[in-house]
Amino acid sequence: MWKDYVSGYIKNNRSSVLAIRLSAFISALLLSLLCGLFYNAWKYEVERIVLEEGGWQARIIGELNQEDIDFIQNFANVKEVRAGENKEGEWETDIYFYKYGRVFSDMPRIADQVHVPREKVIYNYELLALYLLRGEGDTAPRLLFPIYLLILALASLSLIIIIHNAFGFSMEARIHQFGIFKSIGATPKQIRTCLLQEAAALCTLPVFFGSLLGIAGSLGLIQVIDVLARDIPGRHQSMPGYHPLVFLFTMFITIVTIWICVWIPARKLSRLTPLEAIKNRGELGLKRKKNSPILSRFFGVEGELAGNALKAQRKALRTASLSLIFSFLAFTIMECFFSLSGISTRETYFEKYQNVWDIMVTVRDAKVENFKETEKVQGLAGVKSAIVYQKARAKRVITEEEMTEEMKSFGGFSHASLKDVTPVEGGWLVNVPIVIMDDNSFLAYCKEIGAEPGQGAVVLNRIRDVTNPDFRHPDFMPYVKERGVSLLRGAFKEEKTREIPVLSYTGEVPVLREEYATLDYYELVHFIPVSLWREIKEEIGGEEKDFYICIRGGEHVTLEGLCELQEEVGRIVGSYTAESENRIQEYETNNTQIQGMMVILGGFCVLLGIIGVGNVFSNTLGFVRQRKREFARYLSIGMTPKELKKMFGIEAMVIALRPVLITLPLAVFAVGYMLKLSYLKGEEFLAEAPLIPIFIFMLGILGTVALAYAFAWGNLKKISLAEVLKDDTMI
Amino acid sequence: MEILKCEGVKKVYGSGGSQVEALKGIDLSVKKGEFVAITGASGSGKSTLMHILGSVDLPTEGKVMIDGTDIARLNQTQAAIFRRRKVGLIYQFYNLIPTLTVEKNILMPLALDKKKPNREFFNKIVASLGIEDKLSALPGQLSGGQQQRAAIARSLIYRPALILADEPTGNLDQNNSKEIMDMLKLSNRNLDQTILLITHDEKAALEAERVITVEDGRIISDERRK
Repeated sequence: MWKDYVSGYIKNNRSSVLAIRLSAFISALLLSLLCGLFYNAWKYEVERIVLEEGGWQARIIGELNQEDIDFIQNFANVKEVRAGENKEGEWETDIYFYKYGRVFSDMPRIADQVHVPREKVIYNYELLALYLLRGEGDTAPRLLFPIYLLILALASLSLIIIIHNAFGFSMEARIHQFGIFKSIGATPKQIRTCLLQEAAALCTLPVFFGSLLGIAGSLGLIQVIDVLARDIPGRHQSMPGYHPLVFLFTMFITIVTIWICVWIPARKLSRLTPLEAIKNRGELGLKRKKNSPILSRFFGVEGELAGNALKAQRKALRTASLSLIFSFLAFTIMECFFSLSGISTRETYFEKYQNVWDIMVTVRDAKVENFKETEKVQGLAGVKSAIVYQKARAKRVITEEEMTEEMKSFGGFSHASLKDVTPVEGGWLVNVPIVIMDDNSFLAYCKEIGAEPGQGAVVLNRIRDVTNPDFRHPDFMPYVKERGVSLLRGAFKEEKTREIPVLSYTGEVPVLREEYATLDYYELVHFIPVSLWREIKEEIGGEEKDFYICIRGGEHVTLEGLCELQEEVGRIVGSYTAESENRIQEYETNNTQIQGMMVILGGFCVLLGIIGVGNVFSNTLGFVRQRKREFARYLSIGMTPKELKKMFGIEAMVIALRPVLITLPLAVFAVGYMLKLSYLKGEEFLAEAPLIPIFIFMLGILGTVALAYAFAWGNLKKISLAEVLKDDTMI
Repeated sequence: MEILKCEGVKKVYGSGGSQVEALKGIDLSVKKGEFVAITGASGSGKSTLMHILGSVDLPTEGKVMIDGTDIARLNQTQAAIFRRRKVGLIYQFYNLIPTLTVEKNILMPLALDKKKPNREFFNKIVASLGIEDKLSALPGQLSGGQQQRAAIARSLIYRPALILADEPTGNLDQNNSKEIMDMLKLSNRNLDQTILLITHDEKAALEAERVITVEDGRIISDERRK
């Protein structure tokens, strides 16, 4: 049967064969790409854990004698034993196994043999979970590997839904022929076997080449991700890799996916009775009366015929429709989201702080009052200003009389949550963030706001109208009435108080990369010089662990200039543990990361679009076979080729425009919602709306669908009406 | 009045050694209002003749005039419009459009010309064919006989110069066959419709007033019956 029929079919039905080969190629490509990416992501995670935690599988806490270590080393499944002190001076013995799968059964036995209590044994759960090994004591979810498998399973399922149509078309077109085979004695099993053999012959090469291209694609993509993400703190350098087992696994799931795609229609076909199969015309029809009022109104009878034809092909075009709709929708919303997010980040971060900082140094576990290098940093060439500051927290009571009339007018503390404001006898206890600035910078700040410098605090005297939720355009008003002193309480020792002079109440803040009263609207910020802090720190306390140096360069700073300055500052604070950020570099890294994410997500949208367009192609390539009788019928009752072409054009237009028409209102709604959440103005978004990429994507869909229909029209034009009407097999 | 005239119509398929001469010079004349049956065995050339008369195929040689038009000279678009207006085709397997209701199928030739139907004439046709209660059904929901009636109604709706019926009863049982033949006769008589019935069924051919027999691509007899 194979020799006589299938090989002949393959040779003579190039369009069906092409659709099947294309489907197999796309499946293999996508699954291989995913497997390659997941393998590399998994490999990266393993390497990260080995770098951070070590590559051991089990560890014994506490000292062991040499005899015990030798015993463990001689245990059959133990590969290596490493004993030594950790950073905290504790003795640890790391054990490496040959077979990870036996770690949880071997380790308790080892512990018993060397008389170590079970609680002194710990496992590298994070590492073992990456080999799908879970211990009883591990309560963390550890979903990474299961999620990879789930995504792969979903990808396979999606591919089955998407590509089984290609096999279905080819088989349904031959139901009549298989009916004849059955009528002369072919068993259902023989028919299924014949179809599976045919699929194997058609798919072997596309699967092989698709897999190879998928592997190459995954390695390339990993390289791109690595380049884009290299500046992300904490990332380690990882070489892209591949493993033969991954290839075997990829081939396995690809073959299973394609086998299911073939099996579904083959089983359906083999179950038909010979009579049902022989009677089958392989034509598209409707079970119920349908109308296409819009198409019929705009395009007349051709519109109605096109609408009904599309409804009759609904099942065959479902994949194409869904893929095209989802790809365009996802692409549009992704572009809009990243545009909005870019505007928001720029406005709330980069533009807002553009003239505030160029280099930001975080000095870890240190106190500002002990820092002796302030003047050195401030004296560096290219430094316009450098503010050394630390943050501390205190509290103070605000009485009814101290509140301004404006503050009272919107309800005083009635809107405040108890977590921020505590009602106490005679008033309300509020948080007081203290910004401790180096003396020079504090002096400059006082001059700037016109305050008399001295050993006192400048109080940020403003409160937001909490009834207005628009964080981008807040309304501020004076918070407290101006008094000469402020009585602070310790953040953690409220019984300790200290009265400090207030030099000025102001609405202006020093130029620091800080935000005030964003979470707790009722906090009363105090700026004080470090010399005052030295006097009050014993009573107040509450300072953070780290302090900061906020550096501004000259007017026209460049990335290179900032990098050099960063190095110089690094040398000055070299004796401390410090981290520094560079504004321009951060901006560029942020842009690169966003672009990288857009490339990856956009790539998936394009891939989805290709699947949709591929499905349109596979459908239209089958038109000559599937719809020639339908077209012959139109022609026989007097439809002109021009009218038939118009009908065809309407079908193509509906397929291509449907994703656009569905996406546009949804995108408008989504953008509106995002604008509402981000408090950005519509015109700000419209000025930077990603219309060009969306338009290009839309043109891509329209163009390729038009191309698919143009090919099909080219083939259909060649059919001879008399031949079709004569063809008995078409009955 | 002569509605159809064929002069020396020949049709050759293939080329070289595999050449097949389906029609070997057909001369035929049909007057308006005639009911003519063309009979012949399978492979005699009668279906080829029908395709040429229906302008779905072109003769290799010869002239075919229908209602004053030489259909051998028409291009594809002209041929389609000619089919729509001048020829009603009825096939053995009905060839109704499965996605349109019976009513829309019947009105299709008019719709293609963007013409409004004459409701009175439409009602008369569907009533005489007994399908007035099936107008909103899809073809797939009708029996074979009902589908063929719908196909006849479609062929009549434009009041064409000629109706070409290719084995219209070939797929029907005896009762339905008789009814379909009666309806063709009725339309011939009541609407003065010219009908060319192509059949290999001698009994059906005897319903016509003139029977032409084709054999091996040639007309071998042309008999008028009372």
